[in-house]
Amino acid sequence: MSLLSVEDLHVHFVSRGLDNRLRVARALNGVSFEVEEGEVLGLVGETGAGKSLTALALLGLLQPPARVTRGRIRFEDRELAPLASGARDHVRGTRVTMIPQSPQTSLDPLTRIGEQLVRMQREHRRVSKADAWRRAGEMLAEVRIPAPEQRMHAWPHELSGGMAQRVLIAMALVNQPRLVIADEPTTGLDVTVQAEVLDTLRELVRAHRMSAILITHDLGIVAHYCDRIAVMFAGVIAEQGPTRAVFREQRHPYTRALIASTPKRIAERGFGEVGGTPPDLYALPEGCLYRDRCARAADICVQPPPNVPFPGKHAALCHFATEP
Amino acid sequence: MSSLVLPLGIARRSPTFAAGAAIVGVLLLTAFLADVISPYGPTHTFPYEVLKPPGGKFLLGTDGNGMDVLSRVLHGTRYAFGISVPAGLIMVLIGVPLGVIAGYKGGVVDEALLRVLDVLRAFPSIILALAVVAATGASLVNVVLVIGFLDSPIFARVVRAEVLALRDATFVRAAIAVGNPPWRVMLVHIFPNAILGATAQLPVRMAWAVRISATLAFIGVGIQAPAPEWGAMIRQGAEYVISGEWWVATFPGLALIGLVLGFNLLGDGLTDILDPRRKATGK
Amino acid sequence: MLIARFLALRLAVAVPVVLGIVFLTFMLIRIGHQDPVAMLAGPLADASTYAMIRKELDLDRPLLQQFVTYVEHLAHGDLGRSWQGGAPVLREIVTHFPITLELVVLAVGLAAFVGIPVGIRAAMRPNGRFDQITRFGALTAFSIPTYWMGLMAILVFFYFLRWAPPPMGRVSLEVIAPPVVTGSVLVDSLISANWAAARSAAAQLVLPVACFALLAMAPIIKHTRAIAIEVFGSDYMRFARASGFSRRTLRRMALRNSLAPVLTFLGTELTSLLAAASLIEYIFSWGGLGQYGLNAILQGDFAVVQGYVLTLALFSVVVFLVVDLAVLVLEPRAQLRA
Repeated sequence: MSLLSVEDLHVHFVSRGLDNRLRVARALNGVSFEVEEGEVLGLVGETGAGKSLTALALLGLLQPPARVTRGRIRFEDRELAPLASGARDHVRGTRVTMIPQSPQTSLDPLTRIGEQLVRMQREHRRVSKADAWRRAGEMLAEVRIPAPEQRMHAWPHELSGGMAQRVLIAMALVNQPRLVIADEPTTGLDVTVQAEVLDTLRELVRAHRMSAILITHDLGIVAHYCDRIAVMFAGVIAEQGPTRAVFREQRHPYTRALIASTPKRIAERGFGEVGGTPPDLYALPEGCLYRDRCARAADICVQPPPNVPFPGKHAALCHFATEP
Repeated sequence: MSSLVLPLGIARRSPTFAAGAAIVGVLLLTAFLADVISPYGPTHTFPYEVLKPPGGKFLLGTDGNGMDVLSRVLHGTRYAFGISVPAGLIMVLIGVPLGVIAGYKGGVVDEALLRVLDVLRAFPSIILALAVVAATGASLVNVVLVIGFLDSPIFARVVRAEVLALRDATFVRAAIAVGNPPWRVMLVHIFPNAILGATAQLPVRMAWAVRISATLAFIGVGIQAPAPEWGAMIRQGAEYVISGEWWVATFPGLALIGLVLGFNLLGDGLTDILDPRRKATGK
Repeated sequence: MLIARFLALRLAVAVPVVLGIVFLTFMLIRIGHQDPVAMLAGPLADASTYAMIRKELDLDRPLLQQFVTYVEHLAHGDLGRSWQGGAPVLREIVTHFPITLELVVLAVGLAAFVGIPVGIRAAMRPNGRFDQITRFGALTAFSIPTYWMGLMAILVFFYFLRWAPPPMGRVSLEVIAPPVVTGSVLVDSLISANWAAARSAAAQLVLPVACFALLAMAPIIKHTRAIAIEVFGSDYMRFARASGFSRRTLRRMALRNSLAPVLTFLGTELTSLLAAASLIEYIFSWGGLGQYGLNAILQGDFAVVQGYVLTLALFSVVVFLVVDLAVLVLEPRAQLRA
């Protein structure tokens, strides 16, 4: 039984245009994937592919005009509601937590770090202030923040980007979640700091036997830190599978194009497939959503493509997946 | 058919704009047609029909001089527009270049503008207007000039903010890099875009102009009776309120509210249309 | 330490601004106004009387010199004398100021009490029904001229409904006024346990405060809403929501984070309302600073006008100072900047 299973999730945004007609942006078009215990899944894709949106759905942060038209999210055998309900949620914040982008703005500017960590605990559990405070200090030490005792009294704006990100990791892990969702956790950080932060994250995830979903557009990060990879495009998962397997041999043209466009590959083999503009979510093509950009597109692509399975929990959403 | 779609679309997109435009439009029309649609002349007195309540010959009643309230209210639109439009023009003619220069060049002009704005912030404009008009005399021209000058720094501030934001925009930097002289960059690149952003302010400022001129008239410093200016009419009507002849003050007030509201709606609607992002932040 | 430096800096900046305002007023009121000498001397005076009065009032000297003399006097706390009755301006201002202050503080208080929660509620569902209705309502209230609203209030509540007392001053003539301590009849009567006077004062206050509050409410709602929208959409609120915080905690976070900008805005409101008070006072015969200053402007009573404007300017400086100090205390980020 997987820890997390997302089945056929469809999310639409409905708005009114200038001519007063309804416009529907089909942002997620049947996202399905699973995350096992102890697994780190890398969710990649270009801007607008739907990665962050998936995270929002998992965290219950979707708000109107977003609408879930189909699909389910099951976590630990329980159904999770993707839309914001406003009620206090004991799953979010305890068993599923988030590490957001922009670390410095994600911390409450009016509360000291230590108190924020304490609040994170006391919102969900009965724990004394003293105990929570102590645990907060331990957590800060675990995320490798120097002089944690002093930092407990610091204000968010006194922290550097890297430190703030570590604090956020601490906040995400303090309640011992089963699943951590990191949304582009290294944007805005220096490359060296990026590596350190990710190393720390991986260590902790392994140590506490957690699962993680790492959302990023950086394939290098996925290659280094993720057990499995899921490639998103126009609100569907084009291909998913073990990282090694996918990097070695891609089964979906989009994944192929992505991997071919890393600087290393370009250095080796020259410029290959050209990218293109992101699809217009208000006017997606019929059948395969990638066909307008695909070098391989053929008549059959007007039909929705099958999700072709491969050994090792590998799958690709393409009519030509079996062909090299 | 398609030519109807756009205005209809705008109306749906921003009902506030549509409402504001409708109100202002109707009142503007009234200003033009005042002579035609008024039952009597605005200063025509009926000496035996003083303080008649609404109804019959005088739809809105008569005031203390025996003048028809309805005709006076209708003609009041001429004063309202006659003040707010020229004042608006002055604000734009002074405020926009000022804002562009201050924002783009900075330096002395910018410093001076900021100091003036500081002073204005601590010094409510209405008192200033009062003092100046009291000092210089209550003529239509004076009122227009005072209001126009008074609001230009505020206008300039809005434009300045836009220019500051635009100055760092890529397309501007590109224009400079290609070798355009500063005056050309200002004129061709910055000016048109800054105007767009500040356009939504104009109706709001004009609403303010109408209000201030009415307030000045009410205090006794602006346009005075028997001119059918709404503020002056309310001033006249104030003395009758206690004794219950309510119509003299009420109707001009309603007209005033209508026009000010119309301008405000128009301004709000323009903001909606020109910059929907701002609507999301609520500014 | 930080506070002392902050204060010193602000005061240093404030002085030239205030001086600028005084200068502006000084010049404005002298340019083109009807000759005050003629007014004081009366229609029967002859040339030598004119000259004498002119000399006595220093009006024969160049403008700048007059200004310098004025500032010198100011430094000694001498604001000159009113030309209507000769009372010293400083004393008159000190007596009249609390009267207006009472009105303004009560009005802003009421407006904030109602307006802030409304603004926050509207921000929770931007462009939802509540929001649209409140925005429209606020806009309409803002479009109503204060003096007209005051007149209509008198008409409806006094003339037609007979609920409110006659709008003649701050306390009914039939009641014994309490001894003046603060200048506010309400407070003074409470202090001296004069319940009849307190009740009368409260009754007289209802209409002007209500009208005034309605006017003040519109900008408060609008700004609170904008601030709340920004706070609600912020990254830290999003993170808090993703972390499953209770509604109560979320609300408290939002409120605390909105406090500083709202406070700053209230400061601006307070100062602009102090000036707008003159019209309300005029309608309700309130007899406060606003009415006093208004009359002086109309009469061309130089010294009083200068004193009035100076008071307004100083008041705004003080209010902004207090507000900024409060923000400094509330916002750790501001401390970094300061």
